[in-house]
Amino acid sequence: MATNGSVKKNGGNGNGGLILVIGGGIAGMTAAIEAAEAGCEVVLVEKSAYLGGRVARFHQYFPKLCPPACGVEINLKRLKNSRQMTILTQAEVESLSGTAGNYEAVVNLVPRYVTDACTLCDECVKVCPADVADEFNYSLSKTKAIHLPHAMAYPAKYVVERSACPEGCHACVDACAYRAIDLTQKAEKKTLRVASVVVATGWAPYDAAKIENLGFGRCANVVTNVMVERFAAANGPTAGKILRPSDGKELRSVAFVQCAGSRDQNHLPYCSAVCCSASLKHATYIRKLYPDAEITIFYIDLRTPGNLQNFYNKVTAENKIELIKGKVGKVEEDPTSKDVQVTAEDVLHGTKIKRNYDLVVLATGMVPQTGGLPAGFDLDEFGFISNVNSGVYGTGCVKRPAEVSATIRDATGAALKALQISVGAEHLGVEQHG
Amino acid sequence: MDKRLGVYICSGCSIGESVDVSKLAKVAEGEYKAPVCRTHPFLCGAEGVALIREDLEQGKVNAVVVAACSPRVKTAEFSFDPKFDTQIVLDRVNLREQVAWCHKAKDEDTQMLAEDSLRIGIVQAQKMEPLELVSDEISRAVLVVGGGVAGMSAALEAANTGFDVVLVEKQAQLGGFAAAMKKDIPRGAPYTEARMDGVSERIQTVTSHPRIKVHCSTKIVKTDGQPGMFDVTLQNGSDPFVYRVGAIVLATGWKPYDATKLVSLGYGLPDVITNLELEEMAAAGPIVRPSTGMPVESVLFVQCAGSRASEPDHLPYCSSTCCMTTLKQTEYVREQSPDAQVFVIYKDIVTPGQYEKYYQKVQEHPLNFFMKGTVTSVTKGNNDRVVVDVDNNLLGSPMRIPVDLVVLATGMVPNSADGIAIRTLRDAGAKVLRNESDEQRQAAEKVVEEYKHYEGTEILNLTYRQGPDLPVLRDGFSDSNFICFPYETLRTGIYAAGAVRAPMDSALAEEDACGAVMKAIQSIELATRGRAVHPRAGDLSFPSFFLQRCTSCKRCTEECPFGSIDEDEKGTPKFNQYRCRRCGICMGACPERIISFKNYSVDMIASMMKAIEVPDETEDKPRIIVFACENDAYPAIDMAGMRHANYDASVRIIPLRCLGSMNIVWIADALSRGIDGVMLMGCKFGDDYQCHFLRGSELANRRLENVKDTLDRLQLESDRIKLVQLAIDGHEHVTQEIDAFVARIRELGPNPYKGF
Amino acid sequence: MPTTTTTAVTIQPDRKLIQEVTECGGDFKKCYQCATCASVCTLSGENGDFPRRQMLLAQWGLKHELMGDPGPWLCFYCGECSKMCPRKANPGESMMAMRRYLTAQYDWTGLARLMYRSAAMEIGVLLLVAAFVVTLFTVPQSFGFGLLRHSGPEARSVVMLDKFAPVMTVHHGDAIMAALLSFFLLTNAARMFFALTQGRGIPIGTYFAELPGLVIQALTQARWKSCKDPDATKNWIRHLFLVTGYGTIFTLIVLFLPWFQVADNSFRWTSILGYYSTAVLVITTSWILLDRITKQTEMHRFSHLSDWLFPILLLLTAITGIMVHILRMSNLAMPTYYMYTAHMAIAVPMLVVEVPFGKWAHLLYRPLAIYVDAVRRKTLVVPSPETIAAGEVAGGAKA
Repeated sequence: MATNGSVKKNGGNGNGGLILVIGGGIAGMTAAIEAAEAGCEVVLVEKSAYLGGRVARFHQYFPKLCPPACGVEINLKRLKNSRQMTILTQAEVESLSGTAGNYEAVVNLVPRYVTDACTLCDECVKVCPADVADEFNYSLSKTKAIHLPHAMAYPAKYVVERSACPEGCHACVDACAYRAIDLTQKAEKKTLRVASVVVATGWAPYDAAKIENLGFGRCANVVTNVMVERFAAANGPTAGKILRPSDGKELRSVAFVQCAGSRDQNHLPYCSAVCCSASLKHATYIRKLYPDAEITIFYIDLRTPGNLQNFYNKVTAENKIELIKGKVGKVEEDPTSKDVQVTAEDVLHGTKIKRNYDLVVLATGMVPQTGGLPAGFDLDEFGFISNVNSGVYGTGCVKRPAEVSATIRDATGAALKALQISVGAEHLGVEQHG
Repeated sequence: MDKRLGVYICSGCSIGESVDVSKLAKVAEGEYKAPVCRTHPFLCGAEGVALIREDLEQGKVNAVVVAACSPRVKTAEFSFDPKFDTQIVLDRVNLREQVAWCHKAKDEDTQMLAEDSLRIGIVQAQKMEPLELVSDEISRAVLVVGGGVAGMSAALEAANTGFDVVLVEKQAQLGGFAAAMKKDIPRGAPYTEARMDGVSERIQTVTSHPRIKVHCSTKIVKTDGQPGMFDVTLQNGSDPFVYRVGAIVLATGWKPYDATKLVSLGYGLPDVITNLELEEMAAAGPIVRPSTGMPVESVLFVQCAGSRASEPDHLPYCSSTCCMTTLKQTEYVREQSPDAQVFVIYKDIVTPGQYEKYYQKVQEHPLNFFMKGTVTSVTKGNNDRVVVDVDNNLLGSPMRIPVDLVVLATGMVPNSADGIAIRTLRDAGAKVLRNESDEQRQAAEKVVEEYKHYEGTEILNLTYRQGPDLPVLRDGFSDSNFICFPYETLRTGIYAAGAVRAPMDSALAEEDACGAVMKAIQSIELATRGRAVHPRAGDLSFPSFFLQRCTSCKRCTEECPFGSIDEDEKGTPKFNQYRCRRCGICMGACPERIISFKNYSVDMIASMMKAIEVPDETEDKPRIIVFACENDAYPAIDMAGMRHANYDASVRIIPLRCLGSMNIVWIADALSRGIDGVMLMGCKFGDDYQCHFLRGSELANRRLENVKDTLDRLQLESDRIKLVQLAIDGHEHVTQEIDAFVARIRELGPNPYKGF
Repeated sequence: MPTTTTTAVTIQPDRKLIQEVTECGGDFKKCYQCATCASVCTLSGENGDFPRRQMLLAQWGLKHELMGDPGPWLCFYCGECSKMCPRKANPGESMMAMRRYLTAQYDWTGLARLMYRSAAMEIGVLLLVAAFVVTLFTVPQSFGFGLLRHSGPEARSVVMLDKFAPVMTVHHGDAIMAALLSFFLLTNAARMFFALTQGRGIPIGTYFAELPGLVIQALTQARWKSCKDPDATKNWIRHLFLVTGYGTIFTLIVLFLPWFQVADNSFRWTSILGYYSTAVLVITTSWILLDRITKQTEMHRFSHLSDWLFPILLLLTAITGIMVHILRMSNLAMPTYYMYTAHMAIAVPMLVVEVPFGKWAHLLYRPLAIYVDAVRRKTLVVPSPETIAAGEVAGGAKA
């Protein structure tokens, strides 16, 4: 396995043509590893500085309530053992041309400013003067301009947020005993000749601020589901505590607002598929920390298909959770107490509910990430990649909103489709230019 | 091989500031006479790595001990063997994350810890042997079981990847349920039109594909062997015939939930039918009232009929497909009579993702009536219409809806076979026949009674000691327990796809087939190169059995999670290398310690423990061994180090492939040598177990029970042994657990066996 | 809430209802019952009684339940629900459509239904009545009392309105007209009242207790103020002015015509009222029309013919009224007479057609509904399907 530093020019043990995987989240990693273990040579291109994407920021998976890092660790082990994988981080595909069996992809590489020599000794961070918002924590905390994206990040190298560096500062360079920091690194382009392409650019949470009536941004104690994942995580901004953002007080009551933007013609017309199970999972986070907290889930339909229904049965049986059919229409803040008043109709009882909660969690949906992609992809009316032409295969949440296991299942299948093209094709490899 | 040991100690990343590296060098050169021992301030740098490569190339060394950072990092820099551990022995000693970063610098205890860690590593390197590449004749054919949507897709995908395929279907023709359907749900953009799914064309392509051999009306008599060399005996009519295949895709699909259990919903009344019966009626001709034969003017669909049920006798899960199917079927009724009234009574409409668009389209029709509610009764009303009572609904008052026809949206039940259950049934059956003591026979008879409905459910008829089929997960689905690895089965080389794995529609089943085929051909590729599949993908090591000393206790054959070990009639283990996942659970299970890997053995770990220096009871320096699962606990301990968490320096951490590979003799050894306590850090076990080898930590826990008896005999406190379930993100528990345990050991005082 | 204790409603969706409400506007069939509407509505009470429930009743074509539901009349159409509706089902406009449908249903003559369903019919009826009025004033000897009979040659040079249209005659005509429209309006309102109250065992006392509310609402539409949307107060005040203007002029003409329509130009107190109401009418109606044309506010995004005719007719009446006044002042005899005729030809049909059968019926239906709603809430009843449905069972609030 090689990373940005060294890209193999031709595939030693790879049989057939290169497979390009765009996106290093769980879907992309899976597709890449499965293909590589089947004997193909793979180039994995990831926009950010580390692999793992969204799942790296989850506290636990439903329905097992197990830490994502566990599976990611095994995948990283598989990936490190594979000698048929090239990983390009901070890289985006600028253009993609050609036909099945013979594509040419031009990849732009943003400099990391930190070389393979980095040992994670952390001396650079101690001297770095510049604070930046920690994107890994959805900007809920600060980090330094030079930082390790997160403790288990792979590639295990620091990265410099150059735009945040003070003019002419080279404190980190001086502090690095291993000469691992090179602030003169320039952006690069690489041209990849690949047989087939797997697109796994994933999803981003819907911008909750766009849903005016649900108070995100207006009310201090209204947060989104992805934020809760970070709060609950031991490596998160609050080291696993979930508190009222306004005053850091413990929680007595929490409301979950389902379909925050999803199934809504004014926002996302489709169903984001995972939010119901996610909120049930978040309810278990809350219950674990607060045995007596009042927990309410406001929903339109509770969608827990397949085995997830067992999760729904288990969670609701083991935890006192109030399920109310009725979408929340209004969320307002009490200016003094900062409590959040939630208004909804309990449809099954035909009664209007106005209740105050310490914390309101918006179950925001998934928006497919096709922004960074070159032109020429076939998108459905919602922006998901649809009926992709042979040779290029969309997979994971850029294809349809789905939970992690479904995504991985799909990515494994996508790897096969890519491999089918690859085995027939000849290996042309990677070339590099300025 | 005769080892030429090279010990390379890094003083970078504050290791040098924390411990006296020169003393470490003395340990290597003095105690272990390492011919080569070098220290370097930046070992993973170009220069440091060059040092090692040089010595290797000049043949000065062939076994490398890198005492630096955690083996989890700098793997690329510190990999020297172009032929994957077949020529060079490499061992890494974690002086950074687990010593320098989490213990007091320049401290006696820290120094002792560093030295012990080095000793442990050197001994390990001494005990490891290079691996060898085995290669056998591996079949590149794939057996696909089941000719429905999933099965046909699997066959085509595998064939299109260049693999030969044998497709077995027990029915007379291919197609499964898809063939019986009038239309398929709108599976793609624009998600609004149900469409013909072209099953017949699909069947045509499959049957005419040069790489695919189709066998309908065929059963699997026997599946022998192991991945890469399965011998599958098929029978179609009288004469059985055999195929050799490399891997198997199980795509036996589903059957509808037994509607006769739904009398409460009116099943049994002439005008109450299931969604499948409606589908068949629609495919055949007009939708009519069975009682009168007249076309229907009003239809009511009851969703979740027998699914998502709290009553134990119904299905607890959601069948995922019924809502979309109902939406599709309302359109059948609509096409037939534009003025028909269509009612849908649901708990929740489940149309995830883009499917929501279809719900929207159908729901908007003026004469479609959707209502959340509970159907309390379905009865025959006057002028022979069916009357449906709906309570807890959105109207707020009970509703009574008279209609021509009621359709029960019944769910999916997997066509699976529970290998473990069948095995249990067979064992019990055998017991009954053998004339044993009454109560034993009665017990066995009870089991037979309880399990007899598994009689004759076999599908693959594996000759595995642990049962003839895949173990099933929950609700009878042959699914994986792992979210991250949805195709993980406990039988290497056999992968489930489609509705037998989880409830899903035909669109998903086709995708699922791709995934399962991917895993199938991957297992073939890896077998061809003599390598392990997930999770120790690429591992070349495998256990060897010193059978002369085997007592046929069957522990290994019973405990191997992957059914790798069969038995002959005398109970002697018969190992199948290509089924093996290299976890070492057999090694841990064996009381005679006759199972070992070239680079992992009972003796190796025992020797590593012996290498630890045990100060005598006079100085208050307890020694505690921590056996840590290398997949989760070990990284968690590293993370504690990354955070410079400070925990007690009297622990000596030894990573294990899986806690299940822990052999109790180690604990006896340790304690008899004066080690004061042993702590085991493994994965969570129970229903939602996280062990990637199924029951590793659970087995370890069970073995501890026995050890505790031994302890009592030795008059040692059972508190000296503790098993902790630790998840990979549990870095702060690492510190708590270790410190708490060490504190407890200090209370107990030194192990009386010190110095013996 | 123990719905099991109540008798079941037998469901026979009324296809006509679904079709007719759809014709009257609104996309209620798109509703998937998420209840966003009921929770954003500031008027919807703690029993969350609208618009979600009425959307369901309309969707399912439950005529009996909808007829017996004051809900549609409790809404003043701020449009918040339509803005927020995730399915774009326009609850606001759907409620408007239901009001149109109900107006048609409460009218026993069936005329309202015909007019709501066909624009041609509505305009036709208006023209018919207009023609009748014109005939009255223009054709000599028509119906035995052609008004021009008395106006001799001098009346053609000098404005002698009393000769052209003898005030007492017109006064009596007005009286007949008033009686006529009140008869239709009241009988229709009665039907509504029974539909809303039947089978609820409401004690007579309660009705009296709530009467003041009825009067206040009828005069002030006070309830409207509780709408929290930005335009609520504006709309309410505008509407209040309109009502006062309309009320005054109506009273002047129908009850005090002899004081109002006078021969000489000397100034009287009635003139002030006259000026006030005409001014108010012109301003408010043209303002309303402007809103409907620009579609700025939710309330005015969709406009049914009845919504147009309402302000247009009022505006024309006012304008022609003013013209009559000016012409008379400037002593142009014949033009005055023609304008007067035109004035009557607009005002009369507007009143006899629109008030009992058209949108104006709401001037009685809305206060009545609010009144009955109050009465019903006051009345604690044994749960019957309707009341449960209206969410009026004590303790229904908490599961």
